[in-house]
Amino acid sequence: MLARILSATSFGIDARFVEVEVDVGAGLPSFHIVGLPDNAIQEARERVRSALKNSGFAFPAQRITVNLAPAFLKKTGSDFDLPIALGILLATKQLRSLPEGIVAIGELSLSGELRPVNGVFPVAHFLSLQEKQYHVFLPLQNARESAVVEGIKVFGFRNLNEVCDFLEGKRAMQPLSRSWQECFFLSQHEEDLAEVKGQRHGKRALEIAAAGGHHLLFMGPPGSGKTMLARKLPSILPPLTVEQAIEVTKIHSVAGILSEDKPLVTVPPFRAPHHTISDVALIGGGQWPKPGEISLAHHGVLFLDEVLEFRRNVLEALREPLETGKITVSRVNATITYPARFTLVLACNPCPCGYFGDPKRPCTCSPQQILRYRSKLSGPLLDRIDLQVEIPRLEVQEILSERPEESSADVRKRVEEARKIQEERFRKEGILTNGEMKTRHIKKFCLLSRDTKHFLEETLHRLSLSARAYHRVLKVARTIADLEGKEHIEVRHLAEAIQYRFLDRQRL
Amino acid sequence: MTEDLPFWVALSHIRGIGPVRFTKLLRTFGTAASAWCAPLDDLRETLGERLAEEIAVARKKIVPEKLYESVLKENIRVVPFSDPLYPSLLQNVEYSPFLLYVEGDFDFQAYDRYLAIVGTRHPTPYGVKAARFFAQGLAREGWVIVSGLAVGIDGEAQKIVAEEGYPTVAVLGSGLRCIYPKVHISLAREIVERGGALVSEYPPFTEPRPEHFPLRNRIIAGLSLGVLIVEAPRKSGALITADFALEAGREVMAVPGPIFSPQSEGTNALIAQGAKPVQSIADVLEVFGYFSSQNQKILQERRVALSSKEEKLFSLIDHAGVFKEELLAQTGWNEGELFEVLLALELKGLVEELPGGRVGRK
Repeated sequence: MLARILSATSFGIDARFVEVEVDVGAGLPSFHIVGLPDNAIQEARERVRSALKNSGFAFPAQRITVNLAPAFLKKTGSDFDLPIALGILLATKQLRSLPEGIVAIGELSLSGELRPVNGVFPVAHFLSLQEKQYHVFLPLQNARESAVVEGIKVFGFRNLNEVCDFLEGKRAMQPLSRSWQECFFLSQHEEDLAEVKGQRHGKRALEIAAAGGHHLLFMGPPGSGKTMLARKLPSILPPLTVEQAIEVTKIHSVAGILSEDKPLVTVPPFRAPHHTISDVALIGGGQWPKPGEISLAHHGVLFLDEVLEFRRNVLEALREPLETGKITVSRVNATITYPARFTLVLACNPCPCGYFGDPKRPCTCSPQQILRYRSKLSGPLLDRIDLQVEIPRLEVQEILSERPEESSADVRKRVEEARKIQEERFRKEGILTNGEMKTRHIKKFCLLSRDTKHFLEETLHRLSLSARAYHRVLKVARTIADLEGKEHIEVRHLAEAIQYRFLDRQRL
Repeated sequence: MTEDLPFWVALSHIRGIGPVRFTKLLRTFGTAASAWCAPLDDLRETLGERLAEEIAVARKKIVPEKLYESVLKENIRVVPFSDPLYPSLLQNVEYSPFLLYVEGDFDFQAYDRYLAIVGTRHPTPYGVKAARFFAQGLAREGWVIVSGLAVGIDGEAQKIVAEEGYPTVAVLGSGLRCIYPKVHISLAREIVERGGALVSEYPPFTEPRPEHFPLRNRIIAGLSLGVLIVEAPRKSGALITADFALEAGREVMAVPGPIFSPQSEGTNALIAQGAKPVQSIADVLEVFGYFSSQNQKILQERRVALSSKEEKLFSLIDHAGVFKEELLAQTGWNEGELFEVLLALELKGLVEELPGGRVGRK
């Protein structure tokens, strides 16, 4: 007897339908799964067998064949335990019938409990885009995270018996649902800029970085607060739009880092991988390509603390995503493209001992050591950093002072205003922020009056800054002008932008 | 003497033979040549077991004449203690080297005013500024600046003198063909090209060793009429130079520094002990009874037309450097305002960016 159950699985951050066909017939007792399954799916045989037995059902001593269609598509994961089990129950008439339009996903434990699986959110979103309204059967934890998706009915179950009871009509259940507003409300920022005392220069740089989507470098001695400042950046970024939130949530769901109580990622994510990270973990990979840290930081902040300690090949790997805003990972099993549009924040010490330029503690490094240390920073990566800021160590009195500091919400208001101006400006250009401007955009949108142009050229020449710095300065000046709501770039905007090029200016 | 010179060179290649033992050898054997060829037992008696063995081993490997020629081929002069070209100031101190290796056309007899400028390898911007100020000013007054070519104060002082085309004498703690530190190889070349000299008591291919440097400092002190210490923390090689200078009866001067700066602890302590604090070129000249030809003051006020805002900001910036952070707080201006005025001052050449997020007067 043949049974058909609809399931679905994530593929990158997209999803596809998978039809699970179960045939139970005469022959020597056996249990086969076909349709390019991987090991996790092969092991489903043992889980399903025990789960059925321990849930009080009979496991047929017959020939069982399971096909996962389309058969050409390679499949992975434990998502299909539940549909296989339901298929066997249907095929052996232990379950009378299954209504149309049900999609089942979930892993079974040997006792018949349903366990959560990764990557359910992209599936739920995919199903919500279909014409038909699907009923989605999920493990309870997954159901809570997907309940926010509109256009589908989500049911969450604890174990196999609950599913069967519900199908047999012995148990009444309401679909889970959660409003967007509730989710957005749940995800408040934990960090606030007001917690940082002093450091006006650093905060100002954060504001510009947030307003213009510029990448940022903090350099300063240990304990100067580089990390603390960087952590505050997401709190002044504009909140994610619904589309952005869905995209980010999909990535986080595939990576399995969504939490039940915050089903939707609604604030810009902050990712701070340790410097021992491998290139694969950073950009994504694995047999079945998983999203890396750069994709988890999509629409948020990727913070590389002690950036000079990262392996060179790891930093090199950042070049393509920084340029294109996405990363394509090719492996034997699949080639998957993940989005990766993030604000990069780098932090490092000014020299190996950490105290170069500190007025209180002498630096013990020789000039060559400092040059060698900093040379790791040069090149393609530094080229993409618009803002370079030195963070001094503050006096204790300054940190303890009770002067009121501006809150993140206040700064965010200005950032959002500036972003609106940029949105308007780049409507037809396919980019969102000043930070993404290419040379042709700069020529078009960073026009200078004759006097300001003369000032900039003269200044760059006097400070012996390169032509490359010219474009960086213009981009940052554009953002500073936007923050002021000024249409034209003025001398003071340029003067401030030039302050953020210290690495180009200082001689050792 | 000329025939004996190759044997001086050969003996200088044996580690452990310094001015004291060399004098002993000369006294015992009459010439370096006869010391070199002396029977092992006699050597043992004069130098002890270990050194005698070393000479015996070296005698088998080294042919003094060839060694001497190979040194000359490197364009290095060999100046023995008894030579009229040997710096006369250095002759007058205890333990002066019996042999100097010299590169460059510099003639020690052509000048009589030598001043050593030394200091820490990790100077503050203030120290760098002071080193350059004194080196430049004194070179212009006709002084030959002597120093150790080290990074930091030494190098900064010699760099500016060489750049201006005045002769300067660099004393090394390594052989002349093993310039240390390596970053100063090009500076060493420039010193030679500009008519200065590189000096070492070690054979050309001697690697630098930690114990060489204090000994090198005695040559720096010995070559000079006085030593000016610009910046030195508590335990600094520059203070060793000051000790040698005192022993040799030379003048010791120090540049006073902020009491909170660790790099000025040593110099300020020297002043407390009686070293002459110097604040201007004239102060240095006065120590030796000379008068400045230019009457140059250390704080040379530049009179450029400043707007009232520029004036206000400039008054807040000192030579040691102020955090931009502090300037924001003290002026009460916003970033755009501050940086516009700051850039204007920078373009007028009055202030400069310092490491660590600071700006200082130029």
